[in-house]
Amino acid sequence: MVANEINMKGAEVKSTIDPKTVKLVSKRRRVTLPQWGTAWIVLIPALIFICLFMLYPIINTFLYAFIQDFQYAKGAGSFALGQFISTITNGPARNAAFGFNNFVLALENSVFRQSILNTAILTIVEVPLTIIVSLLIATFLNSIKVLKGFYQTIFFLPYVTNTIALGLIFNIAFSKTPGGFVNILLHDVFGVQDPINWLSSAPYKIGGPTATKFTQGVVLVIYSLWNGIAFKILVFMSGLATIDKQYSDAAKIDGASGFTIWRRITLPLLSPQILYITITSFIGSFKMYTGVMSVYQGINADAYYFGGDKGNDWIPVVGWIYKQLDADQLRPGIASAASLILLAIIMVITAAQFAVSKKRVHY
Amino acid sequence: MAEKALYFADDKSRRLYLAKTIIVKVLVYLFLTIFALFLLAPFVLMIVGSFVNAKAFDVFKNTADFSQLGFANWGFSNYAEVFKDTYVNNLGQTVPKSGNNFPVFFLNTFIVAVGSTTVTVVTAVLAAFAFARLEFKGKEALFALLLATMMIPGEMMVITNFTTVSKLGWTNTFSALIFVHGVSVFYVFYLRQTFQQIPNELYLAAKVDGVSDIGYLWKVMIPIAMPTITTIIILSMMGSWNSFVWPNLVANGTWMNKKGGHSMLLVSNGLRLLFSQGSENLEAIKIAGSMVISIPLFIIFICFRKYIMRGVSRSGIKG
Amino acid sequence: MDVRIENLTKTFVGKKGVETTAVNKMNFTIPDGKLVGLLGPSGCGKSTTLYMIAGLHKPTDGHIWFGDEDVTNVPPENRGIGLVFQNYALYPHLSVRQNIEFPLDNVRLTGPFGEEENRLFDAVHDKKTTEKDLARTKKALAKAEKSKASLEAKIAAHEGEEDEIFLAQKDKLAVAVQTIESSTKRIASLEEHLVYCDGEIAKAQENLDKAKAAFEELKVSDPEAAAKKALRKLSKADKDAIALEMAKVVDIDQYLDRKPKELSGGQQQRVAIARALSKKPRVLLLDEPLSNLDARLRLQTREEIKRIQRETGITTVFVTHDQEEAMSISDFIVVMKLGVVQQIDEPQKVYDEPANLFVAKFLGSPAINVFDGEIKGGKLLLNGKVIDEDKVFGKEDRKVKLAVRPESFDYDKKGGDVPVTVTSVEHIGRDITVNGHITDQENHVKVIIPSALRNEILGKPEISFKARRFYVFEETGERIK
Repeated sequence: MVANEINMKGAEVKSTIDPKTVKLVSKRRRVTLPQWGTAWIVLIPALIFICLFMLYPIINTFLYAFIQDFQYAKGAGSFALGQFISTITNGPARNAAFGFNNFVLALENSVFRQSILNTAILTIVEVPLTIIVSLLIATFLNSIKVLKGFYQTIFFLPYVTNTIALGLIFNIAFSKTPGGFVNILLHDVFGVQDPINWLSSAPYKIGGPTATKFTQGVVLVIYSLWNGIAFKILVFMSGLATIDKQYSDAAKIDGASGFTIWRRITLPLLSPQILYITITSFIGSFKMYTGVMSVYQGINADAYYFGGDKGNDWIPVVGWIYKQLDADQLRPGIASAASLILLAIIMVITAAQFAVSKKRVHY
Repeated sequence: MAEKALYFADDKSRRLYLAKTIIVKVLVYLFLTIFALFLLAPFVLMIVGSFVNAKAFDVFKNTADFSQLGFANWGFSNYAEVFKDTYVNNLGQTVPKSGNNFPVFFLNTFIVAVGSTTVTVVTAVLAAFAFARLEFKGKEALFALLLATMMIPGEMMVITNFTTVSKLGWTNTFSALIFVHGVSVFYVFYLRQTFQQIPNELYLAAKVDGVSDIGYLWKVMIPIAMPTITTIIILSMMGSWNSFVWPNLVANGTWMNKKGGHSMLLVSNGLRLLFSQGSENLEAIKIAGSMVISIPLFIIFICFRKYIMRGVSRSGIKG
Repeated sequence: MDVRIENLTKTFVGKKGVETTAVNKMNFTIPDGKLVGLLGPSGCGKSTTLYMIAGLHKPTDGHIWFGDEDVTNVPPENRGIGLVFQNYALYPHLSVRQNIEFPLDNVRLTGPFGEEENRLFDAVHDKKTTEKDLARTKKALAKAEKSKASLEAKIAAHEGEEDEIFLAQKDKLAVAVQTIESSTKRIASLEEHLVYCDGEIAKAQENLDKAKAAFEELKVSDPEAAAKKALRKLSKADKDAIALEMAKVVDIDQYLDRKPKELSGGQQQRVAIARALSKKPRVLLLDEPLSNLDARLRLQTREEIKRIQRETGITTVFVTHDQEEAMSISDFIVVMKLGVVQQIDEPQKVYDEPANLFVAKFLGSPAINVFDGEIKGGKLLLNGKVIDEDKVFGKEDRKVKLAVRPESFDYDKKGGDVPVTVTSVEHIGRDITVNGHITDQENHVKVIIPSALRNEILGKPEISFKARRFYVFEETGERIK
């Protein structure tokens, strides 16, 4: 009997071999894949998704933007591509044409131009503000020992907060009523008598003020400050952690003050992180949508309401693009053209930042 | 403290230096505390608003009468209201709410979070394995292409994906929510870095022992990279939980089958539905709804703080 | 089982198509059950050689034989080797026991005819690989011949025009001719190997049939014994037994449940050896096994390796750049330089009779002293003085290198034939080291003499030593005997 085959419950299975003299042979594998074969097999799942939902959409966006069914006569510098296609494919006659008409249609739209301006204003105000604040907080956090982890956790909380939930809280805090928390704060601390109507285009009482573009902008900037610093603080902290303490110690021995050390040593050594954050913040800010929408959601449940009577007061570019996909209009051609304009803006800004940073970033 | 390494000419300058350090420390803590309060304020409002009964909160809003927020008015009535599918209207009648079903939203979100995380992790692990470990023609070019897609704003893809989803008949299905973001280039990139740190000799050792490439991935690379994979799982779950724009475009309604309908809303979209029912829900109830969907995230954050913060900060180091 | 390296060559093709030869036409045999050290400076191709024996690198040309089996085309896992890496390469997530058991997942107990079956499998695999190689080489040959023809035609048409294009084409032609030559050679050797494969397959098939017949007989007479021998996977208990046995061999059996990072460097190295041994390899390969250890552990571990090798009796090859390490434990050492074997012999013989100047310089610490000498009229001269009247060298007068090991000097009050200008004297207990240079030469000299002679030499600015034993080399490095 082969003892090894008996495997009764609880009974210890004894080895039947002599570990000293046992002879072993390696199992011969009948099929062995070369590395490139394995590579392409394991890449298939990712590639399917990438091709279908990333590469194809990118290419298609260009097609959408440049080729759409529209009146040939209206086209700006376009030629009858549709005609051409139907001729060579012997297919049905098409009106499709190639040209910049979608771009023209988008740029002719005053709301779209408005949205670019809105986004630009918010970006220019909020990006430097959040970067400076988070840089300060990161530096201070890095300099303390007591309660460091506690503060760090608090400052990271916004990152894990649901944007929609948060927007509602902001909306309530900036309520136009006397019981709006910000109004209470202004009244009790700064003695502001009348409650300010921050966001709503309907007055609190008859004849009362309605929200201006400025008051709404203030709320949006505060919101993005709240929402945006968590990630930046974390990145700056991890950057600071990699800076060798030797440098600041050496500077201290040379008699440099804390601020001088920060400005002359910490800041230059942190410049790669600052560049990274600046670029991603600009890009992120130019793509803002959910945040703006969520601040207004307590006033108007429409996902494309951005303040004011028409809902366009602070409409961001991406908001406008999504609006074109709304079921009752569905204009993917114009949306694509608009998204390419957005891409161009982002690329120009990024390139400019890289050009500026070349001299100032120390890798 | 820092002064122990320094030499002072006399006692006065030493005291001056000490005083200066203390003042700086105080200012630093003051600044941090003020900002911490600024960041915590919305959470305080969230907690207070969710517990104070809805009517009292409404009165407070219009009068700024803080006595309304007293503990006497606290309770769980708002939370109960969130999960109810009926409400009492102005005339005192009990009326069904339109499409308010938080348990279903939770279930949907859970399905999508688990499904999309599984797909994302599987594709990321396999692709990162190919890029980190295997040699094949076109590897560099393919990887560069992948990195390039990271630069393109996702909004550009949304437009076509939106039409693709309708063409595939995926509107209001889980497929649209799970598969369209089935691969994350960032996670591939992140995992590849981790995989590359595994010494080459382990692979050669496994080769000598007759382990296939896939076997090596499964038996050696995945166990070693488990901390990174955990980070990816958590971040991906959180992403699903917080996702709003895409579900709002493609799964904002009901999935119909022979048995009837099934709401496809995820928690964020469900929460917005709750907000939009202005006449049915007072503000405090909306706050309670916000609380309900925020709490799971906070719990996860507290449990996995280390993993989350490491993963998020990693995305900054590559800059 | 002996390991035979035959004409082994490895060329790497760099990114710009530049070929570097890491190992060049290497030949040597490692006798069964011996410990052999591959020794050389970094970049000499010793690790490449080891990896080719392991099967992790495919040779460009040549063959590797394990006993009477050509394993050149056998993948690493089927060669029956154990490999130990410089950085141990232990799986960090597995315990010591799991690490040692890791290779056992892919092995089977030798069945009644498992070895024969595998031998047949390998032979068939070898044949397939060779056929593929052959096809590839033939294709390359055809391509080179075609390009040669077209280039020749072009050159003929433009005969006499010595411009750049013309010269470039001539270069290309030279490359093509070279390719044709090497391809033709390779085809011949591959075809020869195919014949060997066919023979091997026939032999393996025959052995397998024999084994099967024997098994049938055995089965009838003793079914229990037959069942016991059946080819099967190892049970958990079997694996544990082997792991324990291996752990005992390397003396780490008390740490079986620890993770590698909880062990010291020396212990990790032992685990790596145990893992390499667990699947009962035919050959054990060690890649710089001691260089990650500190000095004390290195001494201890090298004795340990020697002991383990002697106990298990496995043919062992190890790679090192440390000559002392190689000398101390090897039965044989192979000294390599830039992919070429310089000398193969027992350590003491290599030390005593270096084949060339490189070997002489590489072995020994402190290094051998080299002086500029000359041969005039068959006599060896240093600084114009004849050294060792009895020795007669070739007729031709020429410059040579004279090498003397530091300990091969004698001090004689009457003076010797090697004049040394002293710069410093070190006392290291047992010995005295005299540093200086040969008078009238730049070459530095180190002389080790017993410390008893301290008083004799102290304070002297110049001492003449007598070279007890010396080597003479040509300027190119070859030894003159």
